[in-house]
Amino acid sequence: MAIKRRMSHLASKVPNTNKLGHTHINPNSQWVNNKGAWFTHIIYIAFLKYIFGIIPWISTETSWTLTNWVYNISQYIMFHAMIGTPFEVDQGAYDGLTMWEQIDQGAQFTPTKKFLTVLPIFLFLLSIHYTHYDVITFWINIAGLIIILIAKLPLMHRVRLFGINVVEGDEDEEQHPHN
Amino acid sequence: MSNPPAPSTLAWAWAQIIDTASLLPGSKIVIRYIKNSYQNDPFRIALEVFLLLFVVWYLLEKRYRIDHHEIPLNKQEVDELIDDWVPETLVPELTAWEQEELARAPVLSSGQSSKPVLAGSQSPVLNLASYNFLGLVGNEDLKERAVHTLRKYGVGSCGPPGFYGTLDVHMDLERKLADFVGADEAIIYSQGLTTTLSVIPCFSKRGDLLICDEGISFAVQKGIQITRSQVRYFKHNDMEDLERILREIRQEDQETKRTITRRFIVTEGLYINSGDVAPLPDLVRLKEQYKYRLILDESYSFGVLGPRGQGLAAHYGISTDKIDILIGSMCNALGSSGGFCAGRSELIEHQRLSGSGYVFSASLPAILAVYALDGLEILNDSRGGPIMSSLRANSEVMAKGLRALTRSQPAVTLQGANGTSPIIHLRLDRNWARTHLPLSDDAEVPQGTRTPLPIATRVEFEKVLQQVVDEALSKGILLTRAKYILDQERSVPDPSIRVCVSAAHSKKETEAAVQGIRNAVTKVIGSF
Repeated sequence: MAIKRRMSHLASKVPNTNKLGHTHINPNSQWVNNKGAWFTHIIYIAFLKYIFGIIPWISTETSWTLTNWVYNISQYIMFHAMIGTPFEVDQGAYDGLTMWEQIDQGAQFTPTKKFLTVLPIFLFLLSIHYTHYDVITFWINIAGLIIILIAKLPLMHRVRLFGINVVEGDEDEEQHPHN
Repeated sequence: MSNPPAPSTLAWAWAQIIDTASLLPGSKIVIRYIKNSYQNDPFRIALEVFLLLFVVWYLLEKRYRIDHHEIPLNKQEVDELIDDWVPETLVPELTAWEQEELARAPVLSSGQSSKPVLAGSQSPVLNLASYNFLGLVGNEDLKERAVHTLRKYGVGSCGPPGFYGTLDVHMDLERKLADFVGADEAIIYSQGLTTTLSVIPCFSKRGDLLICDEGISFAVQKGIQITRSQVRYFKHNDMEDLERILREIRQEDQETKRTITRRFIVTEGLYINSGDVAPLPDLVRLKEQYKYRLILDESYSFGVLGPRGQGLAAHYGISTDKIDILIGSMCNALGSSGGFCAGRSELIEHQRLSGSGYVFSASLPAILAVYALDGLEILNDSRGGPIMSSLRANSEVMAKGLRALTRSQPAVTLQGANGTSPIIHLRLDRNWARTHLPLSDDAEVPQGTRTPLPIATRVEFEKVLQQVVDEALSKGILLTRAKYILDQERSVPDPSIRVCVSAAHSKKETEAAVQGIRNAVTKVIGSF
């Protein structure tokens, strides 16, 4: 017993790989990594721009603004608003997490995350290149982009602002150890 | 305040930059893009540059895990850790008391039954140590049927039920069990303990809420531990304390606006650790009032309580529907092996893919399934009545006799001597032990009854109880102390002799057993 207690101060520092090692692939977020899923984003943006572009009374500025916003809102709903998983993975390890936090088991700067971050930025840059936004439209466009980008930053991982996405009763296991 | 530079100077500088840049190949495209984007607004171009820099930074960052707090250890620390590490011995050295315990374990020369013969002796002893409540273990008819089954089906099923382990007898047994307890459907598991271990985590997951009795058995404790749910404990069989906790949680819910949909109250029907019977009507009232589901472990009450042994619901004359998840065992009263869970069809079907003990274990050997089936048949037909009334009568005789003993002998206390339960715990009184037991310095008896005994004191208590067990055995009564895995129990009860009444004994034999226990207790206690 005495020996165990002596080593405990160091042993507690060693990360418990068992707890961090994710044995199961999360089917809720795994498909996002598929190249087909990436390509769908581009098709979706082209489709939006096309639809808003052929409506006769809509100006170029408005059609780009709508494309920007509809795409950003879609991303927000898909990756930052819906929480949890319909599947039973690692005894609820992903309960209360957004899709963005679930992608690649919570790892940061993975290819999929890079793609999904860069895409709305390029969409925005493309839109200001092809239009002559006035000040208000310009700020409307960039506001949507900023909200989407903040939600994606690594420092926002598992961080909840203004009570958004907070799930009560979903505590981490560290907070109530057994026995 | 200095004058701002003239616009012409800026324009000239800009023209210079463009001229120089245009010398680079491909720069024309870039310049055209910047000119288009510029649109007379330096802020926009600055923002564009910032966004591009952000993209470059984001793309160049390396992948990492945000919750991976790796602490680098230097060589000295690593060496220290390695030096400190002592592998746990495969067979730990036994303490003197553990060796004594092993040496005193009874060895049978006959088969297991309600009256087995011990090695080195000729006459049978009265077995009050096994959970053979109905006397189905050692029943000659059942044994013969079991041998026939063995010839037909072989020994094991060699596969989990979901693959090729399901036999006709398993489906038969599931149907009969469901009919017997009065549930829609039942599912059988191949081992009694793992039934509880599988069923509880099958429904309650991380983030869910469990409200448990403090006096639950080892199996339920472990089942709860696996769920990773939030757990609250209420005082053993104390419905007021349960209601207090339920009210507290309701208030917390309202304050935090949380919505936990899966909430369970978990108890046992007949507590193996105390012999108490759970007050089902109150539990049902509370769970309906506060909207919980009830998980009831009837491992010991199945086959024992109720007019025909259907369990706790029948004992109180309540419909089995009120128990949402009923866990039963076939290892105890039925004298077979395995366990079952009974309830509504949806709950049972869920377990066929999610109950880990069902999915990942080979199914119950046919011989044991048939043994359980035959036991159920006995309970169902005319043979069941006499067995149940014999069990009731013997339980009452035992409870009455032992209560008389505690009246004349203040050194012992009883738990479970309510006349209903065939399980009765005979404990040493803490007050008596404090004044009469020769305790060493590190062994002391804490005040009150709620603080668990220190290990050293436990051993002293156990030694006295073992003397009672030995004394009773010399008079032909086989008793046992209740044994626990001390470091795994949440709050371990005081040491006790666990008396298990059996229907296979006659009233006279039970009376003789009571007398034997009384004599043994009086003799051992008198020596202190």
